[in-house]
Amino acid sequence: MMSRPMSSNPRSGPRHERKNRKAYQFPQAGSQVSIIVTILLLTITSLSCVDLTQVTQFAKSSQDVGNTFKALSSDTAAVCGSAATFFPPGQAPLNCDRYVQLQPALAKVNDVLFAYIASLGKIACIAPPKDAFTNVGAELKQADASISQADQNNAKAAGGLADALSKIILSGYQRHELARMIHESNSSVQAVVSFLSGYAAAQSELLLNNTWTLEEEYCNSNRNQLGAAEPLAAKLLAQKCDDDKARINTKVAAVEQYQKALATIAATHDILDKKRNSLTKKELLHDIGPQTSSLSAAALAMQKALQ
Amino acid sequence: MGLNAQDLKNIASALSALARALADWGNTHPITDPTQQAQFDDFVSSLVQASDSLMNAAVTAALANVAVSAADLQNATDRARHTLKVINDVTTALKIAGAAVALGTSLLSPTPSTVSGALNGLVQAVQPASPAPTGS
Repeated sequence: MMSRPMSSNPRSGPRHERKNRKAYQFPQAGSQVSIIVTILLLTITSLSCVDLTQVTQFAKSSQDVGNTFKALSSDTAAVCGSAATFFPPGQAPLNCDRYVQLQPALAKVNDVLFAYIASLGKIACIAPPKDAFTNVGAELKQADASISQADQNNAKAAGGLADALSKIILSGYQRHELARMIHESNSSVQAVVSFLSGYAAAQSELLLNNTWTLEEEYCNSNRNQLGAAEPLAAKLLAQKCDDDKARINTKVAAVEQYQKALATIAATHDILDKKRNSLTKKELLHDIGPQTSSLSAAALAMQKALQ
Repeated sequence: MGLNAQDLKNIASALSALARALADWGNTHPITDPTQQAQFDDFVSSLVQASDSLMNAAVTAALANVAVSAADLQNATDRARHTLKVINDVTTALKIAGAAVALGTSLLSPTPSTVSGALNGLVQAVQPASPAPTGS
């Protein structure tokens, strides 16, 4: 059976083809491949790393929270020491050595959590290899100025295609590793967050509250003794007590922000675990975008509170 | 029956709250008798002391419980470092392949300068992948 001509357009005869060639110059084969490769490269670049930037942003915001807790945690022994001055005469003060002994272990648990989150961020946005192949044409031109444009285009096209394929492979590996890591670590993340929030941070908060209780009692007691006999001393004491109360309240607020941030981290990690096999840009933006903003706000509030 | 970390924490929080309530009461009800004031202060500080000790015991117990999870996260982080190394190795391999493409293309239209230039690129790409020399 005879095959039909490719086109039934009456204007597609040889005369019209010649006319079309005049109207539009088709690029050479090398250039065509180059254009295709460029489009492919742009598509792949937009698929590989960009859609995981929410994970990277989440990790970055978390780091600020972790760093601020270290400052808060290392302050506990000093807070405990300040509480000693408000104990009534004859009463043994708090054992502040326990805070000194516990602090490194608590800091380590905090560090383990945030180092893990940081590694999630690193894997989520590994910079794809640049210039491995795409500069091949230019390099050849540098080496030999007489090299033809066609040979340069061929080299560039072959290199670009290899680049594109390597990015697909790396992107797949990156996603696979990220998903595996998130799934295997989710229960540990929840347990560590629960400890840091429920015990480490709660202990800091309890110490701050207890310190204020002791100071308030000290203030009450001295105010009652000073009475109307020494109004200036009573006024100065009241002023100092008010200042200390504000200072302690600020630190308590920072601890509460840390607890809030930890809850956000746990919830976000849980979302990532549930969505680990479909980490698309749209979903990540929708699901963890707000959490990341909330983390950034918490970190900022903690830093302000500790200034 | 022994107390677990959560029990210890709950009791510590309750004692702390009681001390707080007493201090607040003292703020609005001035005690004029110094002896009564001293007894009151002692009672509040004893509650704080007990609360602090129990919370410390709670954190110590919880720290032992969380050790396994913390170790798991540490392992996950170590594995992530390995993954990053693998990707770096792949990147190095890609650079070698890129240089090889240049060499292959230069052989299509060989001139001494294109071949030596591409060969030089290949050598440079291979260098990061080569193990460092050991011994003296």
